[in-house]
Amino acid sequence: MSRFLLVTLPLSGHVHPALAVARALADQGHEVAWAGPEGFLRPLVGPDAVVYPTGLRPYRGQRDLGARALKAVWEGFVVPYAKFTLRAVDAAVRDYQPDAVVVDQHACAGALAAHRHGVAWATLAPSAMELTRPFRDRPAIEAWIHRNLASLWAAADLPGEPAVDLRFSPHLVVALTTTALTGPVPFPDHYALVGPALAERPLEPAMVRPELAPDRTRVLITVGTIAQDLATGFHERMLEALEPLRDWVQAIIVSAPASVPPVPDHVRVVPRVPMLEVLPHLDAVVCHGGMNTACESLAHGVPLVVAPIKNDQPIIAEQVARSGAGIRVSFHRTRPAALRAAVRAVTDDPSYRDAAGRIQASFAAAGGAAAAAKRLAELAARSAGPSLTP
Amino acid sequence: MDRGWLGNRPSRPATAPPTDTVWTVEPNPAAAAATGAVAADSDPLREIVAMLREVTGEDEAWASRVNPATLLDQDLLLESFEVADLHERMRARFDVDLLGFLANRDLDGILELRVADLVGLAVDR
Repeated sequence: MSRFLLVTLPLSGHVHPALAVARALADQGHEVAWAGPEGFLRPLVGPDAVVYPTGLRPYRGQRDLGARALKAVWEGFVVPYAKFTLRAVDAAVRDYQPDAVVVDQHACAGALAAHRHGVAWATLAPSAMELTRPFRDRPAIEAWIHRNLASLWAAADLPGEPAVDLRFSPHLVVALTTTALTGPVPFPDHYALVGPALAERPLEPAMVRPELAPDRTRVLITVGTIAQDLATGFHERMLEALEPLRDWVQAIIVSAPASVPPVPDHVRVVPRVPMLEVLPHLDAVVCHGGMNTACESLAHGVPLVVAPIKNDQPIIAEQVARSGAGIRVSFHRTRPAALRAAVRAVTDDPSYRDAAGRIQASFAAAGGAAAAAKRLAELAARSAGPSLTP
Repeated sequence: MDRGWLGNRPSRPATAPPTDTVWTVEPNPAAAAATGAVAADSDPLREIVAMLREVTGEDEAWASRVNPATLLDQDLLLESFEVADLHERMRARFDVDLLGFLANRDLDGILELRVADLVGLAVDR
């Protein structure tokens, strides 16, 4: 049995897969503690979980798009969050004495603390933002990311230039995807591509099981948890797109009702859905390309229409389009006629469902949260002696 | 109902064209002079706007709102696959290397790029 400290971010898309991995670790007999904002984590991890609170403060730039959004991710969130939490995470590593630290790819304080204390650490990559080195042909942007990482290295009072890339553990990188989705990328041997770490969210009061129409093509539309205020125009265009399909399509829009105009009978608007319960009954998902939504859908072999908004979503959209499991459209621009054509294509043309099925099979073979836990346990066992130096 | 390419953006105002010059996508001597166009009849601005329209799958109404002051990132929200497509088209037509031109720009450098810079790249080859 080993002890793991999970260092995570106050973002539901990051915490939910980490929760699935934590549950798998516990199922395999290991001990788990968390470092993160307690107000955010506690309702998710339950009253008995060990949480080392790091505090939480507001971060800027969440409405930004394009290059401004990338700037905001690093300069408005990753760097200030790591600096803000560094002391608390460092104390957590000292106090809990884990055999390995599991660090969200963008929770760099965990990597710094583990490195400083000579504890083995693994990167958990719940997004597509770094894994395939999307800026390899933009050296100025990669250099800017490295400057941000160097500023964190210095803030942790570590000497010289960063000895490791804080986004990629030299011991183990657990990536929640497979090459069926990323394409044939030559990943190093210490990368474990385990596929999505799925776990149904606890059924909250806001969650609604939508009534499914038995004889209709069922399409779920969701643009994620952080983009509701950007969603209104997209929802308007989707409703217009679906209007001529009203006799054979049932649309379920997952959204705060405020960002959806009045809807006709063939459309349901629900604030949240138990996705894993609903997905087996869906014919297509229209989404923004958040890694969780996209991979949960693909794990059920459901083809996608992806309308990426920002950050890693264009990367997911590209991967989905290349794999043949869906169609990429523009969240900001694509007009109703083209949205309708995309929905019709992924529901009419079996090649999309076939391609989604191939990804589904590769995800199932990769093992998900249980495989992640197994690799983490191997790392912890390997480093149980004092020999591992970072 | 559809509010088009500026309809979904957050409340940040669209970039206004410079007030001292009237930019349009019609042949415009002022535009040609300001962007360093060498041949008045080649009209690279019109060609660049047409390419942008093609890579984004947009229509004439959209294209008519694109002008030299339009920001590639924050106004057009061009995505990397669209930039890659534009690169191929500009290389074929103007024999220029758009991706090379972008490679050493940091994020601030990307954020300040305008349609006029694409025209400049095309005519300065």
